[in-house]
Amino acid sequence: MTDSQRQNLLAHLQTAVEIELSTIPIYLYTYYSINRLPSACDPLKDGQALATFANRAGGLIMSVAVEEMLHMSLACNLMRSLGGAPKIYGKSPGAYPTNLPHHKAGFSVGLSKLSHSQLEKFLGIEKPEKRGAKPEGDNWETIGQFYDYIENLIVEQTTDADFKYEAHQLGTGKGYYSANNVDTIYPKDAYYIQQPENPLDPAARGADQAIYPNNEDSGGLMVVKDKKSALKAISIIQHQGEGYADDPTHKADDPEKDEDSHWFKYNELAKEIKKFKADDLNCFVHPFPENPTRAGYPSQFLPLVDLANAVYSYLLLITEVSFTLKGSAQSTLFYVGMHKGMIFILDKILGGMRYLYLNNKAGEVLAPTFENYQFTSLASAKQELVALANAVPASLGLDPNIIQRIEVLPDVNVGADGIVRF
Amino acid sequence: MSSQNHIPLELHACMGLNACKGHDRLGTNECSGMGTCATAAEHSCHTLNNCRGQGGCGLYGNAEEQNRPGDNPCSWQGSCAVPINAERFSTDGPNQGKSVWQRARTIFEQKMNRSGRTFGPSPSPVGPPTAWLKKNYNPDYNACGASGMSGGGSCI
Repeated sequence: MTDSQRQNLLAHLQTAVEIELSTIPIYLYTYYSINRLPSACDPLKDGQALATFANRAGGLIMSVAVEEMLHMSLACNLMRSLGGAPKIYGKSPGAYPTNLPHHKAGFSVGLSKLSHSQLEKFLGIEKPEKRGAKPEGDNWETIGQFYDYIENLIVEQTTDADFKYEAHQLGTGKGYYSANNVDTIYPKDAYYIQQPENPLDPAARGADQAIYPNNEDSGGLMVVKDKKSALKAISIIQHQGEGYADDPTHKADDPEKDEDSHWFKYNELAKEIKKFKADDLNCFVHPFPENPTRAGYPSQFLPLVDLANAVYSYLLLITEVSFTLKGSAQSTLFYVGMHKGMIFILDKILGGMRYLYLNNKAGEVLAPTFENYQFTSLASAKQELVALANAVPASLGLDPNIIQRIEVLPDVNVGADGIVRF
Repeated sequence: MSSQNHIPLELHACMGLNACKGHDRLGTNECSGMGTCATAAEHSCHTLNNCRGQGGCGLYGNAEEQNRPGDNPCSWQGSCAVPINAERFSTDGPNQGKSVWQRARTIFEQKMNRSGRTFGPSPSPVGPPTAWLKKNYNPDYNACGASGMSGGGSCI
């Protein structure tokens, strides 16, 4: 391919990175609005069904969010394979509601708690393309059409030799990605926990109830090293999002039909949530504000809001820097940084925030704003993050374990010796 | 139960996974494989372990990690909370939907057999239930995960 063709393809792949990235805070916001183990539903007539739906909705939304992170990584691998440098830090939407990058005008989605209308927005994001729809590289209508455009560029303009950079991609066999975890699974019936445990097989009570919404065969992290693998990466992203174009149900996204597409998962939830009275949903949906901003919150909460945004932004920085490293430096930064950062720092901060009431008329609680935090200097970003954590007043209830974990996050500034420091 | 006066001789992830006599948290077990408690630093989840062999497994981590509970090769590569409660099942990999503790015990027995070492039965053939851990080990014991399906509640 010519250099200008390469630059054009890289520009569209960077847009792909930003499209995938833009969905993550939106899905996570709604995810954190859900109490997956609600006791407040118990007294209600539909308490068991509501509790079961709460856990299922949480599991399904997280199962999609996990795959959006995968899709962003696959788009980054595609860029790296061509010698490009994906930009992630500072590229989250920042202000909400927002349209998706380069989507045609008229669509917007924001930070909103779980509701039927928010699930309708999710369906808009994951909307399957119509059969025969034309590829669109800009002002696109569906994500599928946008990726069709990229696919055409790869088919028509590249050869295997163009995909020659493997070293800095996030590869397989390093524990970077898993399809399921304890946050994506959910029980068939939330009240299973009330059944007695079998003393001869204590694991059976939960295991017999567990539903695993993702499946390995729908595709995972992969290194792009030629035209075929580049097209495979595009295919994983498209199918996991909207299923197969020739299947009018858009249900399955894998050859064995073990995993539902994002669109199908959200469509099921949108149908199910309508069965419940709107007021009853309050037994498990936290009173999150609509599109909150740092500027709109009372000042006493800002240290925690800033920390949440800084952690979120630092994780994006870790990801971006990981694509510039290789070998043990990359695995130390990405594996340790992202797993510890997402599961045991960001998750715990966001989970704790929602129990702080804003004391406003609507009875709302503190919720993440997912704004881009701009570190004063990237050279001291880790130190700034630690300082922010230590500046949170005790009155905001930040657990000391979380501060300790932030202190031992890997530093994104990897020295010339290639050693990741903490 | 207290571990204050005994310095662990070996770090392992749970009941029945000790390699030698005197290697459980109390230092009183009669034989390998018969220890009552983990000696590895208690931790609540994925990547929070400090040493080799301390990962509990089953809740987070990829298929390969989840298939090697108590057998992680390096610090921070453990795949979940220690001790391993008996209710916990693997969420990914070949052991998906099966007991994590029993998988850890199988790996332990394989290692001992490869080394030509004998070992005794675990104090419990299914591992320590959460209720037992709360009563005998730590009243605040928990594992992790928003689904609540770890069997050990959720962690901070």
